[in-house]
Amino acid sequence: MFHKILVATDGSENALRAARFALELWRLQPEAKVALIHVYSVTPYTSVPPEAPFLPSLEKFIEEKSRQILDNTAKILQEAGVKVETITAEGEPGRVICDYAKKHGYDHIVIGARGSGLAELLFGSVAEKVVHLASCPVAVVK
Amino acid sequence: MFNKILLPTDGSEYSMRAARFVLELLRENPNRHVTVLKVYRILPEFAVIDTPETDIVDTIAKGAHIIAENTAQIFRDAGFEVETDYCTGDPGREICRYAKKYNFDHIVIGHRGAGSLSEIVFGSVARRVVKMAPCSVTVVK
Repeated sequence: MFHKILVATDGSENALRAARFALELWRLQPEAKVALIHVYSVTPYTSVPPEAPFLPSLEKFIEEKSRQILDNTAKILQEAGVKVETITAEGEPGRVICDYAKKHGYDHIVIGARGSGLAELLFGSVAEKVVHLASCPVAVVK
Repeated sequence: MFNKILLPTDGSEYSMRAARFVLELLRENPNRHVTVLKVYRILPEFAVIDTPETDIVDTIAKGAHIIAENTAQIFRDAGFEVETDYCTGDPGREICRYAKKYNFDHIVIGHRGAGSLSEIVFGSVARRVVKMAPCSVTVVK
């Protein structure tokens, strides 16, 4: 049914719910591999000239934030004994999640119905985009 | 999760794929409840021009019944019991209303249905279901 499950997270309540859902999926198929992906996007407003003195700290801030989000979500799975791989990537979330899944042969994506961003209210949810673009089944968790 | 699964179908290739996905879930645990649902549309024009001789509305309803039964057959061939049901209205809305009314905890739906042109123009039924569903949804590709 599935062998590699990719769980998308942005640390929101729905993303944690998605992780719990993925845990149930894993219980159906305990030999399945589970990975967590967090995609951050740097908007034009956060881009700064490369020589800006605060750039290294900004990068570090984003990295650390991403690590926190992944760790928080991973905990749910790890506490139940699931080995979880974590991935951080940059770009447009919907597209990056689907590209990553395709490139690495994931055959199931799990994602929360709504993330935390304001942009979701304006442009529609990342989940909708993933449903549209993915080449494997997508579980949208509510 | 996956205790009461709603499987909307329109008989398309994608619905059949969704059905096979649900079949795997049933194989894993035969105690899951599955309902195959076909929502059909009666355009207002049909009702207006319909006569007892043409029987358009009745024919469409019968067609819906056949589609639901055909999808259910996949399960019966594998030795599982499933329920079938059909109702009329806007598919996306009716699927969600049905899931809510009868407390389904999961919907499994094909990414694209049979009405491909209208789906391209108005967005797919799956998309509407993802948006409005009261429970988690698996969209099968």
